[in-house]
Amino acid sequence: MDKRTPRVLEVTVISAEDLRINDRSIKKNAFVVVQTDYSINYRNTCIDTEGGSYPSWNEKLELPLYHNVRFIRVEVQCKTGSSARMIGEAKIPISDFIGDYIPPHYVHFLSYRLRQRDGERNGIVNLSVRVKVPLYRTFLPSGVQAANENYDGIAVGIPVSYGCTV
Amino acid sequence: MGGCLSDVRGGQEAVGGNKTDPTTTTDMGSSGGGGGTTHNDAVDFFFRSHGCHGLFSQLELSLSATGLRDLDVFSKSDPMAVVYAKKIDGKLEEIGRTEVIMNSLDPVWIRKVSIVYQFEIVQPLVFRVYDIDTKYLNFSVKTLKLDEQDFLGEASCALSEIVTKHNKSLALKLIERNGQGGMRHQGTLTVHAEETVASRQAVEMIFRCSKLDNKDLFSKSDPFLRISRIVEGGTIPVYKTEVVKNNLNPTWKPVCLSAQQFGSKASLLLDTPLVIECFDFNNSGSHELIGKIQKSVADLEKLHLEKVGENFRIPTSSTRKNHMKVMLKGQLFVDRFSEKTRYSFLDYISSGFELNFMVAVDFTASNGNPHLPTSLHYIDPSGRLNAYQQAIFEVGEVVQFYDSDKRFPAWGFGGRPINGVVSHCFNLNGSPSEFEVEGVNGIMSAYSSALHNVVLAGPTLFGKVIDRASQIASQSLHNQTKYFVLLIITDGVLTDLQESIDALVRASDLPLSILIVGVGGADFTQMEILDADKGKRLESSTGRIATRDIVQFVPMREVQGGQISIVQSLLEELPGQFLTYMRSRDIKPLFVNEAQTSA
Repeated sequence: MDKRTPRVLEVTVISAEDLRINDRSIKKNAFVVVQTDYSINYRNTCIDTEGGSYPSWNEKLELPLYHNVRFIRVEVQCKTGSSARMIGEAKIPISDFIGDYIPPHYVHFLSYRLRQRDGERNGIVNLSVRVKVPLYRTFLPSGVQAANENYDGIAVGIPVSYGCTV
Repeated sequence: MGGCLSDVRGGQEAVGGNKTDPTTTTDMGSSGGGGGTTHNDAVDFFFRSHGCHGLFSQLELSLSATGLRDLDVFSKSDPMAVVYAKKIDGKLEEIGRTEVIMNSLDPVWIRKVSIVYQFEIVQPLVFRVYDIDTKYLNFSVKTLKLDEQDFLGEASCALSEIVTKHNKSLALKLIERNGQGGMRHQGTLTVHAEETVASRQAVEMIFRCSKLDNKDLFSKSDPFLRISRIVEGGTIPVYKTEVVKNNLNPTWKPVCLSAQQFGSKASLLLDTPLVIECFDFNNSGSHELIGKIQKSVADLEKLHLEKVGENFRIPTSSTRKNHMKVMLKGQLFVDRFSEKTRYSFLDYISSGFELNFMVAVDFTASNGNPHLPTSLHYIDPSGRLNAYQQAIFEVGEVVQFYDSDKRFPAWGFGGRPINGVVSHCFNLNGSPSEFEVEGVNGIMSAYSSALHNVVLAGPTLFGKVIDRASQIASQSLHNQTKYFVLLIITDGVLTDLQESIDALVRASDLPLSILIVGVGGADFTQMEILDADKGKRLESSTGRIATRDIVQFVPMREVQGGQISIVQSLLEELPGQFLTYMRSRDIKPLFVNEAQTSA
């Protein structure tokens, strides 16, 4: 068990393009599963019932990001009847959005080619990724904590709390 | 064709405690494959890339002066200012003049002078102030002959010097040349530039149709909308939506219309009359008209507020009623209508945002021995610039105005420093640690000096210099006001095209644009691949796809003989790339934050 507090990875799944099953465009019901390579940590988007092979979700998902995670996996699936079928996946290296020079809170807009299980290319998934700095809950009064939790904007420089003197 | 797409949710604020969720979407919202998909991909990427297509801004110059010389014996001077554009041949073309202010040595002129701002060229201006003789005070200023008036002083600057100043105001010293050939400073002229208010107006609408006529034989229509503005003698298209396949009740993605698309004459966006045509998409390109509606933007807002639809009409070919239009049962609805302020490139620049210029020069052996006149790197003793020098100078003299410290990173690639190994990113000034040089002249000096200290080698690789520029851009991400422009000048084909593509894909999420100039006579097919104008979205070897188009390529030979300089072709897309980056992250000009902080 990792004793360090994990960072929070915020993934906004924006949309996908040109999704196909057996080379035929899907008609509806696409959704996305995002997970780290710790397989117990995963999140789903809702199902897009109208977008067809060009679905749009604009849905924000949050996952814990432990320090030894190497990549996140984004899998696009299609709900069929009572089960779901895999369309394609993308493996996103952590280095694509965490680097020596990237400041905290920087929002990355990323697009990736999806690969089917057989390795064939499928469509494209578009998302934005941001790493939130950890909140040390034991050291902050609840007011500041609440304010910080509500603060979701792009920070310039060092984040400051609002409405409270530190 | 202009236009922009935005998915920023209405009512969400970008500053303070409220949540910000900037998103960039490339979804097409349609199903089915084939031509429709290809068509939608092209349309959507086109709009994303051209966040501000063909940028030009109408500016109004306001003039005032202080400390003018007193020429009248019994009264003060009666000053008037005249504004000229200095042409390439040095001649002055008058673009406007103010009214005469009577009895004042510190005039504040009311009449404004209009000028079109073009980012991609240097626009030198000359201002002259005259004391109008008393006997002419009842004349129209247009009829005044300037050589009959007393000359008070002259000042000159580039238009970009004005717009890059905080609040777009620049103070200039007025210089008078007396009869003995000397010069004297007499008074100060202040020039303030303002974009017309209409430039910032934009309207975002979501259109929906119901019960469209079916034009397809074995399936439903594939409708799209085309929006045109009405001009004398016809219409000019300003926007086209994506195609929604197989749907008689389509909803399209948000349409964004700005005053800029209607030209400088449109003073009020809401009153603009529009023609909205609905077509059935055909792969052949001859799309079939489903119906047509003529409405002003204000009318569309009314439709939205009243939640009613408007019936389409279609011209009939009936011989009896030749000009009658048949009303169809298909209707157009406006599901969303929101007015918004679309900040312009000049809003960002005048509030303190900067363009930081960087240069990378090709030192591979294919350029030829620099000592020989046939070499692309030949330094002509007469002072005539070679192709590399020309590209550096022409791009640098435009972009330098947008950089406050004017210290430019300058690199070479593909050369071997004396007693060193081949480097694909070495400092042009020869320093092991310092990569910046002072001004455009500093780049030119470092370049000439490097030719004596570097042996041309090879191969041609872009990846290292692109990564180095990306590193600098990454290090500046804490300061959102910096945007970087890397100029790469090269003569040859790439040894590793994929390495360059990978570097460009990594860079596409950063505040960086890359201009590539091809010199000499090589085959530049690979460069066309890198330039998204002519190629498709770049995909890296790991499957990552470019977030946006950041590359512009121009071969030197195509433009040297023409009227449009290489600089114009290279730089015209830069404000659009800048705006695409800023808007996708909901970054606003600094004065917006200032205003909200003080409120």
